[in-house]
Order: sequence, then structure tokens, then C-alpha cells
Amino acid sequence: MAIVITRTFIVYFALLLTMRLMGKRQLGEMELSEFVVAALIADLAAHPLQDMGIPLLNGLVPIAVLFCCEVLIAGLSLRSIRLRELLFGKPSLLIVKGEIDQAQMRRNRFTLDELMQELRSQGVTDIRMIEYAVLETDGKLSLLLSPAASPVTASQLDLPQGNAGYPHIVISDGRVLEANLRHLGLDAAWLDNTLREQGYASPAEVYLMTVDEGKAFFLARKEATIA
Amino acid sequence: MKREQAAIALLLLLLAIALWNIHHADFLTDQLEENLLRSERALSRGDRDMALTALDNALSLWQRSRGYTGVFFRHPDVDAASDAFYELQQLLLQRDAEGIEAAYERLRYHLDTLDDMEHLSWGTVF
Repeated sequence: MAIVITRTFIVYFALLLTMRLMGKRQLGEMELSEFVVAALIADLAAHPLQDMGIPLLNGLVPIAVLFCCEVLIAGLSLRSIRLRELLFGKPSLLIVKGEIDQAQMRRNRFTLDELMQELRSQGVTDIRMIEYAVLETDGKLSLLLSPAASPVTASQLDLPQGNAGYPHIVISDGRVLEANLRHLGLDAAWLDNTLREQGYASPAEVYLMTVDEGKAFFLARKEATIA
Repeated sequence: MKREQAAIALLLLLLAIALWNIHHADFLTDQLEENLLRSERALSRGDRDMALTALDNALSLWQRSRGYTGVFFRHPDVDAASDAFYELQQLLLQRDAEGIEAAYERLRYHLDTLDDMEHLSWGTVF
């Protein structure tokens, strides 16, 4: 068992180091330590199930050790900026004011094809439109458009800005979600009145109803009750 | 913070179980090998009945530990040690002198392997 624990520590930190050296673009959307744990756990769990000669403990102990490593690394990196940089790296600026930083591209092993693919997937075809392109620590590329290419906002156009807040689901497939109704400061009487005004006999006829904090609502009738 | 504390506690618990396991594996194999040595010495004095009794003691201890060995050791290694026990017992019952020394050595080798596998060393870790 001590060997299983020691081996798990060694493999975990070896994978963490390897993936760190390989760079962010290997990660997809996971943080480095999450990726390492995900890659290991899937395989670890399968072995004792496939081979009855391996005690189940040999699969469970490494999973518990990995869980502890992940929780501790995540907790320590929350408290220490230096450790966070060491383990997860720093965001890298691949494009600054419409100029590609080739040194950063090389350092992150990011090819031009991959950069262009990322830009296209975010609806950008002209690099000059980009103020900053940041390769995040989880491997995602964040784009900040230049002021000239940014969409205009309501405040720039001096338009009235109503904020009705987050729309909550109040009826889901005929079922009333009482907690959401209460959260909005509404009650069953308000719901009944609103439904009646809109031509519904009961919540059972509603497929989806959302209500925002300004009491504006959206209703979708259940298919079975559509005449 | 509570999650980190729970993780540290779980790690410490696992390490404590691992240390207990090393100690218990040592204790079990030492007891088995002691009985084995007693059996071998009795046989060399020509006391085959005493040799068989000492071996039976070891075998009964081995069987009583099945719950522990099944959880902590790889099952093929446990089976190999059990086979070596029964092979030696059969040779002693048959009063067959040929190959008996090798059978003692084989059983001792399997028990040592089980014990070694729980000890931290470059060889076992890598």
C-alpha cells in the first residue's frame, strides 16, 4: 500500500511537470492539475475492474491520493501566487495591439494555423481588429477587440439601460418551481392570474415559463396542449 | 480550508494504514517463517511429525489471514504462496525426501516476496 501511495505521488507530479513543460495548448479547457487527475483516474479505476487479481484497494488508494493532491494543490495555489504561476503558468499575450508576439507564440508552441483557427472560431478574421489575444492558463484564447472593432454599447449611444436581471424558471414542463417563485417575491395567486390572462387553464399546459426580476415573463405552451 | 484539512487528514490516514500494513506484513511473514524454520529443523533431526505440525501451524495462520492478504496483496502472489504451502505439506505427508528442501526454499521465497512488495525501496517503487 505504501508503494501504491508513493507511486501515485510520483506519477502525479511527473505528469504535472510533463504537462506543464508541454504547454497550455495541450489542456483544452481544464486547469493543469485537473487534467492530470482526469487522465489518471479514468485509467486507475478500470484496472481492478478488468483484472480480478488486483485488489480493489490498489485502484481506490491512488484515486484517494490523487483527490488529496488535487485538493491540496488547488488550496495552496489559491493562497500563493508564486505557486500558482509555477504550477499553472501565467496568461500569455499572443497578440498586442494587432501585432503577433512571435516569441510568445514559440514559447507556447502555438502555430499560426492554430491561432487563425481560434480567431475564426470567435468570429475574427482580421488580426488588426484585435487589441489583445490572451492565451489563458487553461488553454483558452481570450480576445479583446480594438476600440474601433468593438460593438457599440447602450451607454455609448445614450440609450436607456433597463436591467431586468436574471430570468428564473418558474414552470418547467408543467411543474411549478415554488422556490424560484418565492425568490422573485411572487406567489401562486400572481402565477394563476398571469396564466389565465395568457389563456392557460393551469401550469400543466405550460412547457416553460421564465420570469425576471422586473416581472417580465416568457411562456411556451406544452406541445400536447397546442390545439 | 475544510476541504484541505480533510485531504490532509485522509492522506495521513492512508499513510498510517500503509505503515501499519508494512508492520503487519513483517509480523505475519516473520511468524510464518519462524514456523517454517521450526519445521525444517525438525525434519533435519528426522522428526517428520514435528515438521508436519510446525508446517500445519504456519498453514493455519496463513489461512486465518486470508481476509488481510486478499485485501492488501495481489491475488496471484497470494495464490502462489498457498500453492507452495500445499506442495510442501504434500511432500511431508508422502514422506518423500526428494525435492523437500527446494519446496521449503520456494515457500520462503514466496513469503519474502509478499513482504518485500510492501516495503518501500527503489526496486519496489520503480
